[in-house]
Amino acid sequence: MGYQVILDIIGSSIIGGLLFLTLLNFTAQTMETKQTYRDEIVAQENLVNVVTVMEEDFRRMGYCTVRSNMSNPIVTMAAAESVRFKTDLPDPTKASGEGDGVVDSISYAFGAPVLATANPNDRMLLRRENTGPYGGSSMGVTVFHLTYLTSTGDSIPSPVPAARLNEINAVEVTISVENINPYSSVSGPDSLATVLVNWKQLTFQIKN
Amino acid sequence: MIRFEMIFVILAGIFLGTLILNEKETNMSTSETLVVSQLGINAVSIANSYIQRISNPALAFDDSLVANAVQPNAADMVSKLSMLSLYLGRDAGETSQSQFNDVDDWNNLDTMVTIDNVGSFHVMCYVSYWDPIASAKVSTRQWYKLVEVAVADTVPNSPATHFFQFNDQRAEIREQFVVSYYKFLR
Repeated sequence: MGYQVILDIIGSSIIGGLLFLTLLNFTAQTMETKQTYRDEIVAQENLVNVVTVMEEDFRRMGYCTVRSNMSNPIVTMAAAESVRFKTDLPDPTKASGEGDGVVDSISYAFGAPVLATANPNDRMLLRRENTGPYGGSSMGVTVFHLTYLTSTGDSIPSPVPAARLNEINAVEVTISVENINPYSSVSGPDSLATVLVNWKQLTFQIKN
Repeated sequence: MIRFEMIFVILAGIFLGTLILNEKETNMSTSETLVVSQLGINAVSIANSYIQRISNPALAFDDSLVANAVQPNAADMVSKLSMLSLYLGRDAGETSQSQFNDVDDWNNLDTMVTIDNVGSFHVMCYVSYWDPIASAKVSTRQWYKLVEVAVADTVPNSPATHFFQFNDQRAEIREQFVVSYYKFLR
């Protein structure tokens, strides 16, 4: 009888231990999954924020309230990771977003890696209006790639030489965003787990 | 005879299994929402891309006006309204999008667009005349055309979409805008 009780205790301890380990493992995986989802939501939000600003700028590429003030080439510098183009920035005194008729320029450039974040892949996405200082955005952008297209849809190799800037009819933008604070994964503690969100706008048409 | 201890162990196993299954189901649901969200972002950008292409100032408002500009005065616009095409669609010899030279060439365009690491999207474009007073699509000639772009994601080897089903139809991103001939006048 006493022998049976000891066996029961040992058996229940083993089964209880297995259940407890399963529960611990399950909790760890659930925590990691939740963290991944949170990171992906943050990455998607960052992507949308970056894209919203960029879309507003690129959609005005070549636009000018006084059309005769705009002259070719619209894109004045075109490389794979940087661009400068003419536009007419919104006049703050007009609620409609209409420009003031004076030709402005906007530059975008993909800067140096951001050292302040744990992610080694993200880089600064820089934006400049006219000759002002560059403003940076550390939103976890890991890919910023520009492709320049002619009116027939053919791509022009980057960087586009000055003699071919007039041929640019549309710009294609590719952006990838990762979470800025990756973490060690339960399944692979030696590597950093990152979440990747991709976006591509096939065409930004020059307006002029 | 089954002892009470065994029943407790079985109940504990069932409880744990239910907990895990519930959590997995929640995770699957969240995962699907995130995938649909990313697909939606890209579908909107594809629709915007086509709107940008169709609103290209280099395109003519109508095929009949490619080599026959209309002057911005009422008399010329009234007299030349009948010149506009009744047939809206690609014209003879236009086999690819790069050959399209007027707005309505995009009508009934049905194509696929693939974005690396995201997926493939089904794109459809429709162009029709637009009556701005009635605010409705019409079949008679107008100086306005309504452009509609529909984008749906695709599941490989399946007619299904990741986007939520809506009234038993394929859900899709749909954007529309009106092109006015006045935009083409300089």
